[in-house]
Amino acid sequence: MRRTVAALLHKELLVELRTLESVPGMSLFAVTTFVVFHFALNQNSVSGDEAAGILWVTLLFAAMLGINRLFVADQDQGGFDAFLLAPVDRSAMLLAKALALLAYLVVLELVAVPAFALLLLGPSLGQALPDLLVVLLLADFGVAIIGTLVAALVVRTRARDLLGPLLALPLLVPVVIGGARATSPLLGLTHADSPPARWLLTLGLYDLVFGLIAYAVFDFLLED
Amino acid sequence: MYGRGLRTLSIATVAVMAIALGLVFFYAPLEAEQGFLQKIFYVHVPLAIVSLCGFVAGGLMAIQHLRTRDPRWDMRSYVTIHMSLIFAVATLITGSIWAKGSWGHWWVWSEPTLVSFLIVFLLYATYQPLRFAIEDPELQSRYASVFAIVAGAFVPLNFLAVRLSTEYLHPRVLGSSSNLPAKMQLTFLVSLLGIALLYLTLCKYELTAKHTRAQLRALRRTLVGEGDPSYRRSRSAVPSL
Amino acid sequence: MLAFVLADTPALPLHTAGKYVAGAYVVLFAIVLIYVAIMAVRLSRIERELGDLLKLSERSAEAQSPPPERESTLA
Repeated sequence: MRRTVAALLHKELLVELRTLESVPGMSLFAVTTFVVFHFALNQNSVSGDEAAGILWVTLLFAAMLGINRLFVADQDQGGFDAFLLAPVDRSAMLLAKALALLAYLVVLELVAVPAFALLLLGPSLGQALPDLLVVLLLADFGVAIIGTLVAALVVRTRARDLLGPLLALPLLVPVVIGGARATSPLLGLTHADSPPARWLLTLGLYDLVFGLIAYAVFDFLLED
Repeated sequence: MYGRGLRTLSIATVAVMAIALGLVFFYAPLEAEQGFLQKIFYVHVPLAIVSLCGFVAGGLMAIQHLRTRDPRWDMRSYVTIHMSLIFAVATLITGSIWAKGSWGHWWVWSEPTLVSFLIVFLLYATYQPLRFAIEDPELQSRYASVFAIVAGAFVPLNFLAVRLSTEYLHPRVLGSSSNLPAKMQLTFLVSLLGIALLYLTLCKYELTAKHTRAQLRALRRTLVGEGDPSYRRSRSAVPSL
Repeated sequence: MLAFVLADTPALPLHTAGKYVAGAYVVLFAIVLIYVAIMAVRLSRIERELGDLLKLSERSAEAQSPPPERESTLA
């Protein structure tokens, strides 16, 4: 199982590195969105709740771009059939795709968070950075799991680009709630406190529950 | 046979709802703060509870469908989710009316039930388009069941998250169902039972109708044969039996 | 006398609160009525289709064996 996941993950990352079809687009989208926000809000710097809101909405919508493309190549070029023929545990594909999406999200944040700090964020990030990274990572797990599940659900439909975000966004509202509420004190004008534990617990619980559910149902999406 | 017991169920529904209405308007005392307006509580909260239970039940039925591959479970899951969505819309409308009467605004973010329902509504509103977008019937049923399971698990988590987030801002706008005087509690329970019976009656009604149509189709097939030109199965979001 | 009546008035003026409460209960009523209407449409469709199928079956039964004088089942 572990070797299958490793092999699949290796393939995913290799394909992404060669075609560069998801991550550069997601990152560029995030930076452009920050610029749009500057003009939409007519503000030079934001902090606290506003900053948390802008950051999370941008990250979420950039993630949608990646989610939309996650299974498209497999669907269009027969990757599913090849995988189904192999005598391996089918959940391996779920794990590999989710880990790949997680990797894309991490790279996205490596670009987007500094860009945000540069362009829009008022207070400096320095002290809050470790806490922020923890929150981002917890939320990324949730987005990766739900993103993979939703991507697999809509890839065979006729309006996959439309249905993907429509399904994923309501499902990700708890992640936005937990992430934004946890991040808001970190980006505040006053000295950064650590995020309230309840939001970290919410994110953790969300990741756990949906991780287990995704693992349980994914097989049913792949059989044919 | 879905229609068996439908008559008893509907009679029970009418009886309980009549008693509930009587209790609401003639027995339950007026609430101190909101007065007569509080009576909406007896229709809004039962609708919310029944709708939520319906969504979770739809998820459970979907699990059964994936385990047994019996299309009847998919049909039950579909009808349950459909009906819960209608009751969810009713929850939103009655909650909005209550908010307007209490606060003067048609929408309040500080009421966690209302906010959670908006999110749940937005999620389940994609159920039918998702089904419609998948042409192969077996694939459609399977994918719809996966969606129903994920969404059914999402409902309680969402409630928790929203309740956590609104608690910090304002106290509850619309009253909660705990610490009620006994007369109100009784009225509430009877109303809840009435709405629950209404839900079950409508679901059973719907299942009977769908089953009847399926039987008609089967009858037509045996009488006419497969090549009947007036009867082509077009794309549909509804599961077939 | 009037004092007793006024003492019983509810917190919110009845004519405002009454509209909202009525509205909420009308919503419930409307759901059930709309559903009845939808079911009525479906029932008439089922009746029509069943009638068609009955005619079809009678025709095919006639084609197989010329029946003796049959009384019509349709009133």
